[in-house]
Amino acid sequence: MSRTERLTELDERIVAAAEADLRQLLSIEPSPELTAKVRARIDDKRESRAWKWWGWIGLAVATAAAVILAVALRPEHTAAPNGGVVANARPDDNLRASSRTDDTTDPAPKTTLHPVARHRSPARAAEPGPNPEIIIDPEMTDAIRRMAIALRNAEPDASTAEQLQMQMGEPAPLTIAEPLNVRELVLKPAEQNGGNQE
Amino acid sequence: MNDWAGGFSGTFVTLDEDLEREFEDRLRESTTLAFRVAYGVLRHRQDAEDVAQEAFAKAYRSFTQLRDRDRFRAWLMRMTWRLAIDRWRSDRRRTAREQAVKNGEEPSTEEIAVSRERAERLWEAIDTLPEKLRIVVVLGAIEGHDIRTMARLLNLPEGTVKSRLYLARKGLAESLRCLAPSD
Repeated sequence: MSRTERLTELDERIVAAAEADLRQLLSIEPSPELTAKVRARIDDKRESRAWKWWGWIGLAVATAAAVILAVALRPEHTAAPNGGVVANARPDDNLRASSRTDDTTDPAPKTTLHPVARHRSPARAAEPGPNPEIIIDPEMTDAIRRMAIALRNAEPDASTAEQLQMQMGEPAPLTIAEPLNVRELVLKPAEQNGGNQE
Repeated sequence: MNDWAGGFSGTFVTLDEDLEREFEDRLRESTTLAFRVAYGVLRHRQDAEDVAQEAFAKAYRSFTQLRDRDRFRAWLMRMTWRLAIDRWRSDRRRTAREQAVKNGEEPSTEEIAVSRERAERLWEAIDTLPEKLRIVVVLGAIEGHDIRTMARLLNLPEGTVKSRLYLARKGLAESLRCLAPSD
């Protein structure tokens, strides 16, 4: 302890006395119950941590259940009868299915070409977005909608579908066009006889 | 202190058996140190015991993460010191309690041995020291720790501890000079 030698003799005595006092003050013993208290504290902490874990687990389960419920009860998965059909989204579908009262139950592949448009909820139908209807002329959309509503309100009549089918006729067989054979254009000087052939 | 051995068998179920035994041993040898370190800061038995309990609880939680278990004592001591300092700084009741002591509460046996006024002056002088000097003084007074032990407990080079001890003694001497008997 060479550095302490720089203290004066008086300071040395003061410090020695202070250190002796401090040793005496700090010679205090913990109470005999301290160990039991420590055990209780550790138990309490462990219990509270366990409860905290259970709380987190419960929260996670509840969140997962809420997510599953939200997915299961989404409007797209609920029955969307007439109100859910977007009249102006796929006019062709509506026209073809005009003889049916509830086209959501149509199992034919023809009418399931555009399931998204057919099962759209009214709320979603009102939303502006990148839907095909935005490129349709509004007047045409209105006309198609009116026609679809009129057809829907009309009595179901099988003859209508037959008439439509007859009008449309059987689809023409697909013919593959021959490649267009165009002769090479050759430029010639104009004839002097005014183009009259002899 | 002896009830640790039997007491923890049903308590520390989360540590495996070897670790549990080791933890018991470390605690048994460090309880008094933790308590005294806390008492050196707080000067209140109940608060010191509370801080010691908190330190043990923290030590238990992190015991498996302690790589060098031989350093448990130093680790626990530093944790206790930090907790005690935090408590000392934040505890608003301390002022009221010290006031109550001054107003005539029964002094502890240690204070009787030292004399109330001298003890108060000494604690005041220690409180004026910077924290890094204060811990050296307190540790030196506990269990007669020498420089090497203090260096190990504080995880500092021995030279640093010597220098801090010198500065702490010098500071104490300056604070307590007025109390010295004039020869």
